[in-house]
Amino acid sequence: MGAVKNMVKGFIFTGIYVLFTVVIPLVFFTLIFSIEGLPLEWEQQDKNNITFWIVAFGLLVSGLAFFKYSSPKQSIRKAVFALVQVIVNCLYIWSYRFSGAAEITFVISDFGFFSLDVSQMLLIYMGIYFLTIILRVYDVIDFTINREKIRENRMK
Amino acid sequence: MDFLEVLAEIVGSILLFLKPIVSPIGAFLVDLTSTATQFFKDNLGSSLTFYIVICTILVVSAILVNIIWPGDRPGSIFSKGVGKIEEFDDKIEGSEDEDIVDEIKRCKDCGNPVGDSEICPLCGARQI
Repeated sequence: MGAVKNMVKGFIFTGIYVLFTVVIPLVFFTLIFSIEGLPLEWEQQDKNNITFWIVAFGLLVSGLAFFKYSSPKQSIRKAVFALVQVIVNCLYIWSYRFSGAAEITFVISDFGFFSLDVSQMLLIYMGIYFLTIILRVYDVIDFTINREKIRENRMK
Repeated sequence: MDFLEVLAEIVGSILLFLKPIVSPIGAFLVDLTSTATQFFKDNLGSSLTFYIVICTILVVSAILVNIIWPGDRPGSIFSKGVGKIEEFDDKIEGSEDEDIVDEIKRCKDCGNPVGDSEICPLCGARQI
């Protein structure tokens, strides 16, 4: 029963991660790039680049989320995969920057342009992720040291 | 408003105090992430196949691991192993006990262990 429950939990969270890391950003960028009737210009290469990296790292994050959330509470494997997931999340966030999604310039015909730069926000996110990495490393150490006690409590 | 200004000053001073520690760590993380993403971009930036395969492997392996080690009871492979070992130990212990009991010669009259002697040391009965 435990295995089924874990897997259902894993699938639910994977669904949430796929939605937030792949589907919503893809829909957002597709909508933005396909706007018609507005005097906005985009470079096609940017679109392909952004969507490629969103899907690529989104898939990795979602796969790791399945492993993490389908693992038992306070297990070492949960802690390890949570740590790996945070690191891959860093890559995912950073992919927005290097694919050009963090600095988008809108060229409005006969008017000028305006640019949207969220690089600083991404840097703040990176800081938060670093603190999360420290917490995850602590979890790995804690769950490893108290392994027997946690297992006994879980088996009761 | 005064309260907000005080709060902002407190937060600002904390950030300034932590800046010498946090900035190098942040720079390190940024370098690390940049290097890793650059690696992905250079080597695995042409096809999504690699990412799909990794995602599938993660999901399938997680399912297998959960079937074997669900967490609320000993894992099926692990418990089978332990069961077999315990069963084997019981067999060995059982056979050892039986052998020892069988080997001991006892007095026909009082049941006292007599060993190889012909006369029981407890009751004096002859063991023929």
